[in-house]
Amino acid sequence: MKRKKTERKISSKNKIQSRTKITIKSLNQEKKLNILSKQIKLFQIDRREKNIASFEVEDGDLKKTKKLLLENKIEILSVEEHGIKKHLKKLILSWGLISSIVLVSIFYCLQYNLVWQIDVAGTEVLSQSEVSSFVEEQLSSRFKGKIDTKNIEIALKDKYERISAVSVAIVGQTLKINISEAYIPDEMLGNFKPICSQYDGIITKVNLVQGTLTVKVGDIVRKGDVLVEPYIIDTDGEKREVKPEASIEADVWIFGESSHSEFSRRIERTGEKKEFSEVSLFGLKIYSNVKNNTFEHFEYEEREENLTKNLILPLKVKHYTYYETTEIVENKTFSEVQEQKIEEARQNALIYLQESEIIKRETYTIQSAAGTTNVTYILTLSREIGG
Amino acid sequence: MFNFFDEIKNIKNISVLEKYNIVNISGQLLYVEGHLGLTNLSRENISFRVKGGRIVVEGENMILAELSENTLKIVGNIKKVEAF
Repeated sequence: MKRKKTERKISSKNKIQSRTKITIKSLNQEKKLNILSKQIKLFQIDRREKNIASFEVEDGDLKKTKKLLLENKIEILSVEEHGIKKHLKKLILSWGLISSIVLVSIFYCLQYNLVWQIDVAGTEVLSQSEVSSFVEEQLSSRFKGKIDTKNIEIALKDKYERISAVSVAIVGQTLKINISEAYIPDEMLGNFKPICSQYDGIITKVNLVQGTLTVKVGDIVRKGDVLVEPYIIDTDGEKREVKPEASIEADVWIFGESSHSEFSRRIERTGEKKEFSEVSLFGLKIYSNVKNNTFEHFEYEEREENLTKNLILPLKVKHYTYYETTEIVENKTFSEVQEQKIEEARQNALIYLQESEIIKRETYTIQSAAGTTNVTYILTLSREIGG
Repeated sequence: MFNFFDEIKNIKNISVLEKYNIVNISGQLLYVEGHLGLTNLSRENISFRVKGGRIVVEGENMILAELSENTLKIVGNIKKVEAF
């Protein structure tokens, strides 16, 4: 215990004195230490084992000690440097480290005084990027000390009428802008649009909440016609703009069509076909089995693809397919297909039906001219056409 | 500064100081002037030659804290100092 205390005292002293600890290995150590001590002052001589001992020398004597040890053929096991001086010396020698620390410190100090980011919060209608770029324009400098937050607040309020309250603060390296937007009722904005009809139809029901009606029940309207104007005439006879609100229902018509020709021609494939192919490399034909097509009437298809999956060689193969066709002439009267054509027209009309809509009426018309008969199917529905 | 050994040396007719001087401080530190070289070194026993004989220091956890051409300092738990 005592020894430990003594060692601690000595070692702390050594830290200040700056010495180097040398561990040596040799026989007859007493003799060797006597030789060394004649020229150098030795400290903290500690014989750990019979052949191993350690001692300390002052830094000034280190070179001489090493030379003496070498001359006397004493093996050096380790050399450890101690003391503040050594550490300072190391630090001074590490110019790279010191200069980088200094540079980083300077950079940190400089950049700490700058505002790098503008953070805008609380906007709903206003664009954050717009506000941010406006604030950026207001900044004469990025240095925190030169930023007048009060002036920015005033500038923001002057620029944007919608801002009811604004606070600008520098938090760290961010310029934080908190905005409270004022709620402006639509009446104040005054840019209302009239309610217009979305479909053609006959008006069946009108429920006006606000605005001036331009139609009444029974009126026929076309798509785009104005139903409710965005103003009212108040008791003083003055026109006042309001947001038009109304629920207007109408009977609207949905059409579906089909047609039939008594004489018709169509081309059909017979099922016979001929296939040829051609292999090419860089556009140069390498292989081909293309022969003359012998079909009188035919349809022709062509497709090109890579011959192999790996494209080491870009070999391309082209396929040609000839399909034999025949012309079919049909002669059917409308009465033979009437039911089918009416249903076809109905199905074409039903496509435009919206979900859960109830059909009020169904009718169809048939018109014939020059061997062609057209069927028009009409569905009558009740729909909200504006509001 | 007062130097004990120098003061004694200044007193005439005292020739004993010419050989060696040993100061034992509280059994924890032993200072020696006039040694002629180590003869044994271990944590329990440190001995060295002096003019006209040999000194053996026995103790525990002893370290030779300093060693120069003619002085040495032993630090540790010093039990016994014998002159031969």
